[in-house]
Amino acid sequence: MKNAISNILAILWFFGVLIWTVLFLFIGNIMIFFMDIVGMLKTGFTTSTIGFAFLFIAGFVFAITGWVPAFRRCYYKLPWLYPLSMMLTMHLGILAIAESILAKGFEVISTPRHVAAIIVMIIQVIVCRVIMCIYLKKNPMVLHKYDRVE
Amino acid sequence: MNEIREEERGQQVNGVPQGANSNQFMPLEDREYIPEIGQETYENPTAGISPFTKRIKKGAWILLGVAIAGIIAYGTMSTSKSVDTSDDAATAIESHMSTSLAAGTKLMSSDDNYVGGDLTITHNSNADETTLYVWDYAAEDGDYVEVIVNGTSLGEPFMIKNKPVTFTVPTVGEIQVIGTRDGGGGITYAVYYDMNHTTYFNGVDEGGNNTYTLIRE
Repeated sequence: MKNAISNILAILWFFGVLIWTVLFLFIGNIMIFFMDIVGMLKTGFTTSTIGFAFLFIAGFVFAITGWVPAFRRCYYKLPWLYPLSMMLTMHLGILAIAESILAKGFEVISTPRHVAAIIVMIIQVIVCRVIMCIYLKKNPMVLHKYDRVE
Repeated sequence: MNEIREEERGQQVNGVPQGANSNQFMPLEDREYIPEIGQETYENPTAGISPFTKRIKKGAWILLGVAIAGIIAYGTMSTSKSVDTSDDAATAIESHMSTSLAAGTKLMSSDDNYVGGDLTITHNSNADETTLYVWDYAAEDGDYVEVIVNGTSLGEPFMIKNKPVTFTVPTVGEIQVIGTRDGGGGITYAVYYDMNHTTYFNGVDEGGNNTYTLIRE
């Protein structure tokens, strides 16, 4: 009975919250890159940043999913979901920082300032991605093949 | 796959995987899985905690940290304010001027295409210089302005936000605010002069300008 209730809660959490958060992150990552970062680079003007707000929502939802045993079943049922969630959050974090650096740099119309912002942003992205690679090399996300039906 | 299984079986003694390369796979009838992960599943949640679960729990703490860092960063970097709905603010929307509202007051949530005009400000301040506050009193939509004092620019054009930017300007002379870029709905900005404690809610088109002529009585 307890198992059935937990499964129902996991299903409700997955279809009610988790899947939308994952989709939201997919769209958010694309939006931040193509609309905000590329948009700023094209126009030379800053935009309002949304990356950190997205990061808060994503981090909060995924943290709850990891904590609550019933919700955690989503990760057991769909073993790819946890690596995907973590990877998307990492990407979002990197993009959010990059977006903020660019937005700060483009607040003033000044070519040297714009160039400096772009350089700092590129360095930040490279450094963050190297750190991400080192972390994932030490802690691989592909943990197991959970149920390999032949 | 059968060949792989046969090979795996060949490396085992009494059905127990041997060696570092065994991966501890235990072939079953129609599936194979890692026992330590299978111990704590939705079918057997009371068994020992698997590395996968440990990883998820540890990850949850990291994600909480990320969420907290995200909200702190957002709160720190966000300059957007809430709209002032007081009577003074309502009056200021009509008169485009206020002596009671503080610098940085936000009057509207969106720009209203308001285009103001030049102003002559007469004051009785004896100070040679005063502080000028410039901000966007409506939406932070990417409006850019440039401030020019007696023909000299105080810096490059900058984006106006709800949080004021301050300049030190002379109390006598001409101050121009040039609308460099309209982020949408017109360039809505406000200026507050410390010398007479007055805010002027003004607007300008892209490429246009407003001149404030400061005269001491």
